[in-house]
Amino acid sequence: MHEDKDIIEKTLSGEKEAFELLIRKYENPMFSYIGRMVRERELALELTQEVFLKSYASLHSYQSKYKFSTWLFKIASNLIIDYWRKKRIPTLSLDQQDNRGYQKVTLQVSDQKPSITKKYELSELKARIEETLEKIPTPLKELFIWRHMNELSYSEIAEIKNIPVGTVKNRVFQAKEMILRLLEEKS
Amino acid sequence: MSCLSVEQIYMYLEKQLSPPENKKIEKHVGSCSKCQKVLEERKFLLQAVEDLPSWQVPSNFAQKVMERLSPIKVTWWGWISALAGGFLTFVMAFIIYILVTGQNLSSLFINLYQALWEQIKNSSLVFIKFFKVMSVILSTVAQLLKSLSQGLLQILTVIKPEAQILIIVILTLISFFIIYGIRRKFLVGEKQ
Repeated sequence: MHEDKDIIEKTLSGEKEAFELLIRKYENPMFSYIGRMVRERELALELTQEVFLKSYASLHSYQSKYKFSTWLFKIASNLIIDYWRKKRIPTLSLDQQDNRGYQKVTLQVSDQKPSITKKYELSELKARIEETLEKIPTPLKELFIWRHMNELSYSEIAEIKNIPVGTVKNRVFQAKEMILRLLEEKS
Repeated sequence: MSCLSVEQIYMYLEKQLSPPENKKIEKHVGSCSKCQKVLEERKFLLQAVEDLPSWQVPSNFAQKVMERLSPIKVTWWGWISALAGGFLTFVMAFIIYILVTGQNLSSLFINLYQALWEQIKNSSLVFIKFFKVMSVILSTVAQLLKSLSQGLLQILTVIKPEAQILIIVILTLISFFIIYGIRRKFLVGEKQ
């Protein structure tokens, strides 16, 4: 298995074909992240292509002290924000008060609601989670996807978004609890 | 020990705690049905999330991206290092030439100057011929444009002013679309 840094060095020294290895390595994780953010297959494919084109064009500015994957996700995140801004697509922000449950998440255990373990089979729960993702604020959703679907560490996410690790942990926690509440509320 | 916080439970499930902390939690969960229920619920949620299928790109995705790659931009330091490299090579060649021929610096410059002057004298004849041809081409083009403008003026006297405005608008729109199309074609990342 080639190291990302070696592949980048080869690409920068003129071996354009080496870059294909990086594309193949990250195409599906990147497509999964973008797809779940924009919820449209064709658009997600187009944006995923764009991420690789942009990263190739600015490969010389990549600093090897960071992981290549985090740099790539940073490009993708900015690209999605730019796309939404250009298209004037509103996104659920952290300030919105109408996102059910988000403002009410408490740290203590509550056993008042029906358990999801009794309510759903695993396969059904998976489908419900995909639907529920659409209802949570974008900044929480993004961090949740990175942590639990792309399996990035909390510190990697903090590096991508340039925010403290504690904030990342808290937001991912809020996202999970919000998803759980929405799943419990679903009839 | 009081009941666990949900955050603690997640940290335990995500293996973010130290071994002694893990033991504490396991001990508490073993004796508290309420925390056990919460733990089972979160475990089920995380299991479902981590089992979600990955989105799959088409098999020719990488190939398509490779076809669209444009050359890597050369940075300013890239240009500087290339220039510095070129300059150093020149200096090296210069020093080697002096060492091999034994010429001193002033005679070398005089020789260079004389050779250059000879080249200019020889090439000036070619330039004169080139400029003569160019002047013939330019005067022909000027004549052509003159006849064209005269023809246009004659057409304009026949066409009504409203029709003239319409033609101008259509031509402007056509040129706008041509320029816009060219811009889209060359802009990296624009949908093909």
